[in-house]
Amino acid sequence: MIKLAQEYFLQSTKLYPLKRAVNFQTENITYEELNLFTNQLSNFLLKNNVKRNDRIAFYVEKSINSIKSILGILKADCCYVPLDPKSPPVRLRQIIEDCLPSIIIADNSTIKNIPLLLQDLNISDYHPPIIILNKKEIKETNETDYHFQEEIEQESSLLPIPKNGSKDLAYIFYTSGSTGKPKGVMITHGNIISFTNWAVSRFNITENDKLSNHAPMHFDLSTFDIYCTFKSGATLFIVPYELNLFPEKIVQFIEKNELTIWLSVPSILVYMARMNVLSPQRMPTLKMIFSTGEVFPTPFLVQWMQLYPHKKFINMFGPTETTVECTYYIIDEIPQDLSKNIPMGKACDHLEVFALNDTNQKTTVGEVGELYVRGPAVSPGYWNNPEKTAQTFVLNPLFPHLNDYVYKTGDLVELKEDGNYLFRGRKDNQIKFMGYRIELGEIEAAIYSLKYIKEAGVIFIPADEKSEIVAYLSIKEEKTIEQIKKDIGTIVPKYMVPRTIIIEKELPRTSTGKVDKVTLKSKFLEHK
Amino acid sequence: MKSEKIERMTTEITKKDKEEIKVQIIEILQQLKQIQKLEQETDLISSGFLDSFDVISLVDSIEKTFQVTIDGADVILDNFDNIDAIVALIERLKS
Repeated sequence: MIKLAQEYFLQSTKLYPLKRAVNFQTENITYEELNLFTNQLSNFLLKNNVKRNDRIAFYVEKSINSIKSILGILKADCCYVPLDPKSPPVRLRQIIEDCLPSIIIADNSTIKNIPLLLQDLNISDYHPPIIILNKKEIKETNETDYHFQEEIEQESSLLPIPKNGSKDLAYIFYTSGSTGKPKGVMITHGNIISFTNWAVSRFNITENDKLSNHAPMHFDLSTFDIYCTFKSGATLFIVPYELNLFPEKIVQFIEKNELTIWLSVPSILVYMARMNVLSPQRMPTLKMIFSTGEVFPTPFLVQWMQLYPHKKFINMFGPTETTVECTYYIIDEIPQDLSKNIPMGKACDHLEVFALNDTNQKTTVGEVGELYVRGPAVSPGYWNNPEKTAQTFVLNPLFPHLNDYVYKTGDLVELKEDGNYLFRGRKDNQIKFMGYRIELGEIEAAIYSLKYIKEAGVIFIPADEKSEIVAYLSIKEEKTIEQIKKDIGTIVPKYMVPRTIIIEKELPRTSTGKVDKVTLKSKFLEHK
Repeated sequence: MKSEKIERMTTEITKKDKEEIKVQIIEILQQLKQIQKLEQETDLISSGFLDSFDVISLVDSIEKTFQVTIDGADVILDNFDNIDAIVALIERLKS
């Protein structure tokens, strides 16, 4: 019986040692090669003062190094924390301060930013050893606590004996926080196992499959990609980030590697459809297309389905807090009504979902309520944040005597007669943009931290093809929009920087004195 | 008119067209990125100046402004990484 997430990988290594496990551009690695190196990496970690359940961050360009980091960290009974190289150092420092990783793994391209990540931290006496997953180059600094690949390769390649169990953490993924500080979602080995077992069996993923990894490693779609691959003994193909701009290149990538399974946010699928790179004879090996993270606009879904009547299309939904997905919907027929969104679907078999209205009663058909999720894939909570955890992981309102905790999603859903749920919006200011989960409050907090800002109102304008984040500002001193965007970009990741900034003398207010975002929204749409 | 003169005039007109197209593209990019002056004419994508969202918006604007249709197969680095390449693409599509 599997207890730990890396055991999927270990089992497949026994069955298919010489099989290619992961590909990235021209680099390939077999199960056995990956196994030996990650055993060495875990032994090195254990020798460097790493204790059970320590957090270990990896700050590498998306590549095979990401997978090496993940497996090495798990094998050392530790929990991995991905740091996105595209995130501004300010944000990464918040994460480091919050989870205190005992080691940081870097690579040749990120090593120059390490001093930036470690400066001005709110932690005394913090000097984590840095591991660089590349060979030492002469120009490298002589920092005594930098350890290169050569050192790792000296270690024993025997697997350390694990002490961890299903309740121990496998990873912490940081998501947008409404007050400006990112929140660390804790996911256990048990969480991953219950999700992966469901996904592989529900969709019949086998060793003959070739899966894409399109999502960044700090985004839990990668959890589907990685663990479904390892459980089945399949091969994972990491999609280079640059391909996102060129829809033709993505199709070629899928064809060249003969991918059978694609999972991504809908925006890339919309892009490919819109740019006319799809035709019936292309991507013949692709069997299943999973869309998740955001609503897949029906007109573009229909385009895909009409071109590929024999491919399977699945819509999935789920917050990071419930381990990748909590509902799914197999799109059996081409939707007739282009103005209706496809449903979120029903609960994944390993979970239970229900919607409650304002009086904490289960909603009836047609009623809109807040979605709750219950089951073994629900996270134990937010790292180092008991307050936020208590607010969202609550005693089950339906069966409080069971002492069972459920996740209050903040998503508004409507139950349909056929038992499927439809997404109806959020209770708060959280949005999905380009597949990213963003708290508009985090963007506002970043803007307000700039000294020259008087007022700010950040709104989201959703649209099938080109949604955008817009900020209305009033400022104290002359600044170009270009400069303001640059300044915001030093605090939050690029995708959170408002596409359009409009400067006004003063912003409209509601009767309670808050910035009137409803007015701002209609103002913007009128202006368009 | 003598054929050489015609050729010279045609080349001059083409050059003028090229310049006009270039000016319009620079304006589109400045509006798109909300900047007053475009600082770079090369490495637009490889430097990270334009991301996928920008590319979609740019394609949209070009199609509307120049009354052309851009095929997905044309959305490649070679055609969009610098201003001159974009101009060449538009000229090709218009002919």
